[in-house]
Amino acid sequence: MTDTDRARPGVTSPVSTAPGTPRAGRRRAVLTVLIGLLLAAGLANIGLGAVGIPPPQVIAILADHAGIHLNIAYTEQQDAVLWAIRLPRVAMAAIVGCGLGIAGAALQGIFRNPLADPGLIGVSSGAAVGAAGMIVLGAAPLGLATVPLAAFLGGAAATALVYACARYRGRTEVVTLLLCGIAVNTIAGAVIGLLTVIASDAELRGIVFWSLGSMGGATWHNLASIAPLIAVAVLVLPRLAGSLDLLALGEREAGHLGVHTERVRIAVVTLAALATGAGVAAAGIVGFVGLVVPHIVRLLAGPGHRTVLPASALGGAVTLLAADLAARTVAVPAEIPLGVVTALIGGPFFLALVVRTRRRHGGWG
Amino acid sequence: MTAAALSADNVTVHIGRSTLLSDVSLALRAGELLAVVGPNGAGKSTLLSVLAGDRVPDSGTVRLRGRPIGGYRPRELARLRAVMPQSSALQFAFTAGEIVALGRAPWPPDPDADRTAIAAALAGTHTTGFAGRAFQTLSGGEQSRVTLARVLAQQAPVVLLDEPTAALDIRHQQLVLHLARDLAAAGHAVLAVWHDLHLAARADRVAVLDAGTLRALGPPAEVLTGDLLTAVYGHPIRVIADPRDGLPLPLPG
Repeated sequence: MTDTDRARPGVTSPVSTAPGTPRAGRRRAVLTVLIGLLLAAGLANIGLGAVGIPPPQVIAILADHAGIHLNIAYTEQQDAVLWAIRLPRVAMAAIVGCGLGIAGAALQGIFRNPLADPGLIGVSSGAAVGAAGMIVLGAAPLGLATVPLAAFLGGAAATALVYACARYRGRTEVVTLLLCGIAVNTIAGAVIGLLTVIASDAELRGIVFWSLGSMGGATWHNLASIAPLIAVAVLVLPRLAGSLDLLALGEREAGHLGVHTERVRIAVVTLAALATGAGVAAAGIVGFVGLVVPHIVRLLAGPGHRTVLPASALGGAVTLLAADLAARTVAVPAEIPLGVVTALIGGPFFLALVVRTRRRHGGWG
Repeated sequence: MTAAALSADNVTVHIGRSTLLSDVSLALRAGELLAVVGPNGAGKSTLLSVLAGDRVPDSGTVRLRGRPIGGYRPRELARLRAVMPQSSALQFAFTAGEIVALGRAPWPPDPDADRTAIAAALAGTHTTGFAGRAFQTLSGGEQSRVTLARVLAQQAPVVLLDEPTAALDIRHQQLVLHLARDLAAAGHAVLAVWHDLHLAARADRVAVLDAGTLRALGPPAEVLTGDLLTAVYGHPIRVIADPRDGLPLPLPG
């Protein structure tokens, strides 16, 4: 297309030109606050733990690694802990959180359904099957990228399956969607169970790690293998914001307004599976981030995807940083699995959401 | 006769063994309001979805401005024809104003033109007052007026309305009828599926569908006769002339 068309295959949403909406200023406010929270959470996660590293030392160590020497004293141990352990872990939590948050928001957009969480509908467990399968097979035809890509393929297959089963005449009933999710989660659980039978002890530990979720395995190495995949999703999905806004009207209606619905659907499913799969490959199944974060963002900033998508990415990062900090520090010296922390917060949130909706609209039909 | 803005030629649609539309041909011209009437299950909504390009007929062709409608890309099509659906279900809390603004999506961004079109659409449908309210919290009638405003904001030369007055009280039914007539007067080609025969009688032409076939197509005074309506609806219907303008007024009885 040669004219000044809005980005393809989506369309830019003109929602911001709507009259009577106080949301124009909210977008900037919400994004600014989230960036501030992200920096604060990052500093807290780097500094807190068995070895304390106060902010000035953090800055000095980072500056030294960048080749700038500041006149602030720090210990050898602080340097080692920060550079080899904390920093990759913080970066990993932030990146995986970004991916889960934006994947949840985008899936909710195409399913037209605020309950479409990558964990609930089986994307994460599909990805875990892909990852666990590769571990047990022990094959690595693509080197470091093998497990993340297998997780992506598993996640994409699970998403496509749920989508095909739950969609009827362009609509996705909540109950059908969740039932399909239960079925896919059950199948994935069974496959992982089979894999544990043939797995060696070391592989078994890897699989258990996957099913509970943890940032403990974060290294610069595996960060490098997943960051590009999540970056693609985080950078490309916001370009579909306009189409996702229009899809809220209904698939047919979005089509009438110029959305190539089939293309948008395929793009969102692929990108969401990419982000979720890469996150699962690195940190295992971390549930509820993709459900809780977009929900809160919508309450604060309205449902326009131009805000919801980037804000869910930032909010996902903040949430996972906070959850990982809790996982590391609440039960020192033991570490609580990250997936357990997010489920402890997300599960009750999910219940409250269901109860609130039931009270207001008599539930989800 | 002006060239057809949108035309169906010998359109047939099957689902399984049942025939939803059988060899239907009609042409919608720029500047006219064409009403489609018929009993439940006559194929009105199927005809509308075929004309909108949503559904590919099993045989026959739909042409928009002389070109087969399947040959248009979605966005090209969205600039040429707007569709008002029967009902809208929304899961996210967009405001009425935002919903109307979505009607501008097919067009290149132009904040001034967008704002003008949105304001005019809201004012025309008497919905300016609740532009800031969440769409989900509006009554059925308010929702369908906001949906109509979205369709108006799209500013497409061909406008298809699927029972636009279904949820409306008599005042707003008249409002929508006048809006549809004004659109036609401004040069748009407007087709509306209508249950209310007395509203359909105010269109320029009326198409009567019965069991998937086009039984009659022409000016209301010629088409809306007691004999035809009685046969099509399977219920006695008599038609009197409106004492004010002489247009047919179908009445049960």
